[in-house]
Order: sequence, then structure tokens, then C-alpha cells
Amino acid sequence: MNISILLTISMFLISLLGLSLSFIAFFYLSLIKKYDKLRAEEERMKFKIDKHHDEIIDKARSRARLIIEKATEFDEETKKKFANDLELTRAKLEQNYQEVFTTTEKKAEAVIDQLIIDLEATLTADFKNSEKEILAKFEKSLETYKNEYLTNLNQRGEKTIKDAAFTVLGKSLNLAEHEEIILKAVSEAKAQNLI
Amino acid sequence: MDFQLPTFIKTTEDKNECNIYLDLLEKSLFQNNSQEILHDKIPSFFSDVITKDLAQTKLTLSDYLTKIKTIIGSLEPVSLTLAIRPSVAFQNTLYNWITSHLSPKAILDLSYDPSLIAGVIITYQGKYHDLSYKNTLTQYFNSKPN
Repeated sequence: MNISILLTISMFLISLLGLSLSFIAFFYLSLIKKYDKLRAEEERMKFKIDKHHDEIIDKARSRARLIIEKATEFDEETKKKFANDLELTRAKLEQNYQEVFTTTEKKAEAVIDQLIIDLEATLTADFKNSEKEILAKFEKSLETYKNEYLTNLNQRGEKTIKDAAFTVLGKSLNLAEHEEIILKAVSEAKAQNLI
Repeated sequence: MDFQLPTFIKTTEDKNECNIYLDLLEKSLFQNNSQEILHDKIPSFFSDVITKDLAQTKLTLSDYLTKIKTIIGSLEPVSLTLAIRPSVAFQNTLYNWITSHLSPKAILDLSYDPSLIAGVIITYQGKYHDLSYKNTLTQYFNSKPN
């Protein structure tokens, strides 16, 4: 075979290889871009969760205020005592909540990391899947986890606030106040012809 | 005809205890040992009141037992579930309240449930009312205010 023909074929193959490598590099660059975007989304999600935590604590405060305002049966001194007790419990609740939150946050990070590892594994193992399909799947998993996490966080918050209110109310009352509340309750029931 | 014995029955526990002694006395009628039972087997507080009732009403023991059992049977229990264990003084306060506001025949049927937090669950003449703080708070949280 003519050397010039061989040279031409070699040049053509090298060009083809270069083109393929450029295409793969471009594909990876695109993936890296998407990957960065997902990292940014993860950061945004963390910020949102922090904000949500603050909202739950604020809600606890406003609910506590409402409970105090609604407790018309108590005199001012009892209300003040109740408010102090509630504030102490709220502070403890916030501390506990922060601990739970930190643990859950770590869990969230682990899950997100796992999702990214899965994504990388999928990219390596199943190169046939289109980039769009893989990323969509990943985003969907992230979204599902985020929703589950926020719902769980919300439920925990509700339960803790409820438990705290029940505990604080029971502890805030002395025997005389209990007796007064009982007599007031039966008197009002009688006045309303309930009994 | 005034009987003293029912005025000392303020709770269903008192009623049950009293019925035990009255049953003992009723049995003694057939064994002809009523005096022995009255003075030796029945606590002095009850036997003194019964003796006074018998002297005042001039009834035979048999007639007295028939009438007093009817009176005690007609007492109306008012069921109150509380978050505290009531002192004797507070039991008396509650008894005075139910006899003056609900019925002179009312007696207390007390039970204890600390989970109520405060307040009372009242059952009287088939009516049930949960006036506890547990109920109020549960309703409050279920309404999910912002």
C-alpha cells in the first residue's frame, strides 16, 4: 500500500479520535456544570431547611403566647409564672430541637452524598442513559427526599410543641389552682345547662 | 322522717361501705344477734349513727333497714374524673356544690386521671362533659392556628 494512503488513513483516524475525545470532554464539561447546579440546589435546600426550623420555633413562641392569652381562668401572677415556665421549656425545646435538627441534617447530607455517588456510578456504569434522563432521575430523588425531610421536620416540631404545652400547663398549676379550675368548670357547665 | 345515716354518705365509696354494714345487720335479723353485730362488727361511727337513727325514728331494725336501703339506693352518683387526688376538704367542697346545685341526693363518684392536666370530666344522669384542659388543648392544637 502506498505510504501516502496509509498516512492519510492514520491522519483521518487520529482526527476522528480527537473529535470523539472532544465530544466526550464536552459531555463531561456539561455534566460538571449540571453537577455544580445540583450542589447549589443542595445549598439552597439547606438554607430553606434552616429557615423552616426558625419558622417552627417562631410558631412555638406565638402558640405559647396564644395559650397564655386564652388562659382566662388564671390570674396575672399565674399567667406570669406559666409564661416563665413555658419560656424555659421553649428554650430547652429549642436546644433539643437543634440537636435533633443537627442529627437529621447530617443524615440529609449523607443521603445527598449517596445520591451523588449513585449518580456518578450511574454515569460510569450506564453510559447509554442520556445525560438528561440521569439528571432528571437524580433531581426527582432529591426533591422526594427534601419533601419527606421537611414533612418529618414539621411533624416533629408540631409534636414537640404540643408535648411541651401539655407538660408546662400541668406543672404550672398548684393544688389550689387545680381546685379553683375544677369548681369554675362545673359552675360554668351548670350555668350553661350542660349538667 | 329524718335519717342521719345518709347525710354521712358523700361518695360511692361511703355508699358501698355502708351497704356492707347494712347487709351484715340484715343477716343478723335471722340469726338473732343484731345487737352483737351492731356493737362488735360494725365500726363505732356507723353503729352510733344507726343507734341514734333508731332511737329518733322509733322504727324496728327491720323497718329501718328497709327504709334506709331505699334511701341509700336512690342516691345519685355524679362521676367526676380529676387530674388531682382531692383532699378531704376539697371532697367536702365538691359534695356541697353538687348537693346544692345538682341534687340533694347527689353523691360523688371520684376517679383520678393525671393526663387531664387540669379541669374535670363530669358524667351525670347520662350526660358526659369533658371540661378538662387536655380536651381544650387537644382541640386547640387540632384547629392548627397560625
